[in-house]
Amino acid sequence: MRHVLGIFVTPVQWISSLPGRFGGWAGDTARSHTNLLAENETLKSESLILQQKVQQMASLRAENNRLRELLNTSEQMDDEVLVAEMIGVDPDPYTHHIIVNKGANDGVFKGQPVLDAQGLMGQVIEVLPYTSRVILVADSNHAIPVQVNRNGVRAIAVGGGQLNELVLIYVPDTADIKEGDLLVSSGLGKRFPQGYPVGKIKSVEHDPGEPFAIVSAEPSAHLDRSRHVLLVFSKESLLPKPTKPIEQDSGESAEAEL
Amino acid sequence: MSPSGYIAILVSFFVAMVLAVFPMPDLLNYVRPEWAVMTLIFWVLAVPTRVGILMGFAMGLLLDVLEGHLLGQSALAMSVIAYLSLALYGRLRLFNPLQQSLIVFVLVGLYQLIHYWAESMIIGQGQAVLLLPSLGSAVLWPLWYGLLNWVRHSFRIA
Repeated sequence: MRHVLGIFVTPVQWISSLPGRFGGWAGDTARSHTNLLAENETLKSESLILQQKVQQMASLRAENNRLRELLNTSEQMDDEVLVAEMIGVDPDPYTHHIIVNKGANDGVFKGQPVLDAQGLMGQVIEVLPYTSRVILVADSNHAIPVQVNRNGVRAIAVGGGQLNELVLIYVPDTADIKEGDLLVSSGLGKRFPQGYPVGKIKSVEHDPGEPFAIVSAEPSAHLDRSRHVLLVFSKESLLPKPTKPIEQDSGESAEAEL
Repeated sequence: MSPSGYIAILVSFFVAMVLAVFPMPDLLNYVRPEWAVMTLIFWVLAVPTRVGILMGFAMGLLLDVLEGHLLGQSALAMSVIAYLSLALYGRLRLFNPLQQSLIVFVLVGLYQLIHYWAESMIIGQGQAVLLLPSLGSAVLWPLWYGLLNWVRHSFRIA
């Protein structure tokens, strides 16, 4: 039903995105020659740096996979991505949804993780034939399992309702979480792939009157600026699960439960 | 009414929906009028024999998909507004613009309230209902009324 109605609604979304597209097009066309040269220069140097990192990564990945094989865990795969363009923002100021220009016809599915160049943005909650709706991690109805990159402490990051705010809930006062820690997706919910940056800890408060510490974080993804987003087709979930229980995590989880 | 009249009515709803999701600065977002509801009220006032609850229901369904609400939420609210406008149209037509704006304020406020009820029943938490959008609708009502009236006369919709 929603699917069929979506066909009628798509032109509305498309038209309402026109001024933004036109602005982008005008900006691209009317840019000066020197600006373009400068941008080209910075992009070249950036690509050089990234290439250098990728060189290292190939060998590190191979090494990581060999080690994982030794531990009898599933192999890590590259995730396939689909680039989509944002064509709309939900007009309701109390929700943080965006509309992207890829839908069921491009293989988008409900619950698909969405990234931008800096980190995890959110997930797809509604798929129409040619567009789909993405809920951002900062929406107050969204939660994502995360892990502190430094020591593996697990937590749940709930959207704070503001675009620059995530809140970690149920964090014990004794947990080892510090300001500036990087939060990455833990992959425990089986929805988001593991290891993508989600946010950075902004502040940790210990209020003796509260049962848990008050931890707030800032999302890594540029939720209010990214125009192009990546829809991830994670391959990890297709692999068979290891038959034997893995013991490598026991040390970490014990630490996390302190 | 000629087919072109129906097309004009549908196009006006289409424009209203574009305005409903049009990107706007954050502050204006809070007072964004409910364009589709205003359009519905206008057409019920203008041609109560042609536009009614069914039209409200159909447009509400489209609004639900467009705005990502639960399917049927806006459809219910729009049907209720269409019914109330049908009950009130005889009186509303005689009102001056200011009085009409006041009624529009109440109707759009009711529309938001139904949304709030539906959300708090289903999600357990309604998005904060503020009367700002109804205020925006009431303020822009004379303008929108004039524009749609012009459309109505140029397409001879009666």
